[in-house]
Amino acid sequence: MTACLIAGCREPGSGPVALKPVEETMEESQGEAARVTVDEVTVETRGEDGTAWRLRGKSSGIGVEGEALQTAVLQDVSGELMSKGKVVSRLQSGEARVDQKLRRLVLSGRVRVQSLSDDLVLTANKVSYAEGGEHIEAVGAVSLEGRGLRLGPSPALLATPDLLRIGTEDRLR
Amino acid sequence: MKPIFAAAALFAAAGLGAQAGQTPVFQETQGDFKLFDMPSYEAELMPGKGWVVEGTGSPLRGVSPSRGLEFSTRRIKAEFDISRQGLTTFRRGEFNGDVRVNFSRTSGEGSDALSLQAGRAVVNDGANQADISLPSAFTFRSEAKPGAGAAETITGRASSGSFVLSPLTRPEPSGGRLRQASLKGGVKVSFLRQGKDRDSVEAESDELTLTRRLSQGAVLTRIASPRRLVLNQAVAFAPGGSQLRRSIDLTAASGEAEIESRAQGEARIRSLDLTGPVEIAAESDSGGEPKLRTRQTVKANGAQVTAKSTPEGGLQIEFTGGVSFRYDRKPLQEGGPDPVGYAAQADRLTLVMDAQGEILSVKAGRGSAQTGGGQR
Repeated sequence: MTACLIAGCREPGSGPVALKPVEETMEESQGEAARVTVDEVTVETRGEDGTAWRLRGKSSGIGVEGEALQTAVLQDVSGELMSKGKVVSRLQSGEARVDQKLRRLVLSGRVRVQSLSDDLVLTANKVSYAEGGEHIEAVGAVSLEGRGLRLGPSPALLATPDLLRIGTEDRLR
Repeated sequence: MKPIFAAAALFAAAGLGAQAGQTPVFQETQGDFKLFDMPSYEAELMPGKGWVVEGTGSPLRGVSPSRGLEFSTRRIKAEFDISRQGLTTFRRGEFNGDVRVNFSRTSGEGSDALSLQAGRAVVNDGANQADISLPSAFTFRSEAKPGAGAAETITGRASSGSFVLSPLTRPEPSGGRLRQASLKGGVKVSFLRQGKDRDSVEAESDELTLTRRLSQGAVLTRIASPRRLVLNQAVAFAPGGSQLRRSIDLTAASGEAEIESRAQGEARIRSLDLTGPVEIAAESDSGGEPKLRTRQTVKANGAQVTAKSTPEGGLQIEFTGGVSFRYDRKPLQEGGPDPVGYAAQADRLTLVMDAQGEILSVKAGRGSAQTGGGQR
């Protein structure tokens, strides 16, 4: 079964919120978010500048409140980070968690981020990104390789979503 | 060895690179430039240009064996070009704070090394040469061993300066890495050749340019200064020998000198072109029977001095345009030859020394002289 979930803009009511699970199992209790389980899902989060990320997972746990996506947990994840409507890097990880209230994406388990334009590859144990943020945050054996250089492994690094700039937190914050 | 140079020597002997097995924070994937001990850093890929890497450490350390480069510093900004094949080329490095840099090369023909200790250094590596800029006080030590035999060592200090080296990645004949040094402010440079005997030449000025070249197994260094220049050449003969003294002290308003360092263990002034007022004090002990040994001293003041090598490997110094001088010869032991001395003024003076620095002859041109018995 396949589902396509699109989460809306940051501004309340300023953009579309679409949730289209098809043939899923839904558990709902009064006053709590519904939890939806599907075999395959695409989660797309939109921000002020268009889509922020698009994720595909083979299995997932999804929390919805009303018609809005609140949380999503995906396994065996692939996807894209986007900026101003354009894909800037491709993502792979064992798991992804999307918190729609915090507009935050957390990838974990053999995370791989590959820049689209420069063939740079970041690997880490965990990568998180807040929609609209300047940097992705990578922790746990963080390395960057490509264009003739290799950085790390370091305990934690920040990088721009296109990976063109990377460094320790004290320098990039 | 004087303290300032002792520090440089210790630094040169100490390894600046990382410990064996240490994981670098930064490295080239197809080269060997590596940075260690750099807890704070950032790297940026500049579209169409290359990588710019900046970082700090206490200190951070770096190595690149293929470039003969080893350093430690507190802050670095390094720039790398990227070829279409994805190969990186180190182009520029800015080093700030407790900077220690070694440039070295070793081959079957010999070795050479330049070590710098400075507050700040900027290195640019180009296709034809590498440039090092040192805007604040620094010390340096250059060791060249172009072939078998004794090594040539140059140590020095200055308030600021620059060096020109051969390109870091391009093979050069051993001993040829350092091409030129431009030094300003309280400059002191020492040339030392440690063979059987210890030969040294020291130069002091507020501004010096050193230009080096290799010639038939010798390293020739031209010293040039537009300002007051002091040169001292001395030979310390091996212990247990005859303990002879050979020295020349020169002071000039400006001028040039060429220093030759030979594999046999000589570091000698081979030519001079000094403008006045010029002062020379030359002293040499003669060898032979102890009772017959004498010490000759020549002190001269003149307007213009030139010097060139003699066919026998000695040095012929010429004063022209008027010179006043004093010559003394005195015995080194009681009962030796009677002392001789005279003072004179002449239109010219020629002083000839042999390859070991012994004064062979003193010839004055037209003038007036006062003779005396000299001083014991």
